[in-house]
Amino acid sequence: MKKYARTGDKNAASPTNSMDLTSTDGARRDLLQNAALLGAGVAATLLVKPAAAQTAAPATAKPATAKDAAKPKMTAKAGDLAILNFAFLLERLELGFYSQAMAADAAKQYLHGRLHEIVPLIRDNEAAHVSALSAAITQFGGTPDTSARFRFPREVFISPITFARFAYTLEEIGIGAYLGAIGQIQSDALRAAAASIYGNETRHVALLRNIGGYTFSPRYYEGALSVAQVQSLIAPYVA
Amino acid sequence: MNHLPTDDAATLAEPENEIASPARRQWLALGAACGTALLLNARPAHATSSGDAHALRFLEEMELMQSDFFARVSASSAYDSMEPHEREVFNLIAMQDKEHATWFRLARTKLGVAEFDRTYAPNTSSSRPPRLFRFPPSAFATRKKLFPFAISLKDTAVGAYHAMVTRSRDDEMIQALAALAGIEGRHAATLRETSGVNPLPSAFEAAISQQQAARTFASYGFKGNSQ
Repeated sequence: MKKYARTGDKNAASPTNSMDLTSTDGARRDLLQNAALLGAGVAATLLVKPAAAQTAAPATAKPATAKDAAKPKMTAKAGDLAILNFAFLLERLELGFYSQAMAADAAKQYLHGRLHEIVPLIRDNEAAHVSALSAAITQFGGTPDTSARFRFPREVFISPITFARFAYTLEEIGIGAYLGAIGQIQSDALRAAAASIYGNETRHVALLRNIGGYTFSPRYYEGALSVAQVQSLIAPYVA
Repeated sequence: MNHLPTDDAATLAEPENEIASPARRQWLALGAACGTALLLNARPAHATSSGDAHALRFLEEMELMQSDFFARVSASSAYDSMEPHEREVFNLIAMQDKEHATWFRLARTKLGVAEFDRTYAPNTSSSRPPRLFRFPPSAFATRKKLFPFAISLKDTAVGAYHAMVTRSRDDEMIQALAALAGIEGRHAATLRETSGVNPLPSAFEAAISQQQAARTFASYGFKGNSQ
């Protein structure tokens, strides 16, 4: 059952409220925990068994921002590289999801109207993100990990309603992940690149929510997620 | 007043069309996790760099300007000719921009950052007149004119946010500004989508320099650095 409420009414943990000095200790603690978990999260990512990627990024995508941004400096710290690799996993997850949705749509025509039009655009964006991150990881001396395979619930490739809901939730996770990590990126160029991708993801989620019949912005700030939270949320879809 | 459907944590617990995935509980957790408050701890004023102080002032003024603009929309003739869902878009943006402006005022106050940069405005007495923004009346005349103006305003605001996110050296400040920038991106995309303009003009959000943003906004009464 869809619930209707004024968006301003439910932001119990709003930034404005949280600006009370007495309530920010927990927030600082969370941030520090995020920083600690980041290392663990990346380690877990690297533990994914090597296997052929089920969905590879198209070679045709030619992004510029992250790649170009990575050029001026080649001094990324280990933490930055770890964040890049984690972002790479998430972007591949999203790309895999939209690619499968487009394949299902080609076979069953289950995405109608605006969804049918917008999904290819979002998928192209995700492909550009994957390519940009891959290039950045390589430029900083790392190796893009393409070993993870992805699996998604069948329902999301049958019903446009479940698709939209799943898609925007996946995007929300990505946004939370970027936001949780962005303050910890040491390289200016990489932070700018991450921010530019994050900004594009926020557009995705607004569109998917709007088209799916949900308010495009239920809060007036984006919520950050820790690496551990993100890993837990995506675990069912990453093999 | 029209209300938009929402999907807060409670709604996530009882989805209309439940995804029978193994991760349902994970989705529910997301609802709770997204309630995480925006981070920006209180520190002594001297711990806030001049760059961050300037960013807070700049973005606060930008949010005040946007808030003013979107509030005026609801009283315009263009608003009268809109579809209900279009009005809801403008109403929500107006509400959230106002909340952003409030957030900046509170953040600035808690960080001990004065409203005006005394380097540029030594006379900061309480008698200073309130900010007055002015927008071309034609922008509010018709729906056709309103949307491009609103989109231009939002696109510039998003770019300005991204420039500030890139410049700050403070982890918490970066995260806080990014959290607000994300919402501005949602606004921009939805305005574009609602008006039939490509909502995804690029796969990467571009930063717009503070100077460029200030120049764009100057004709609306935006002071930026020179206040």
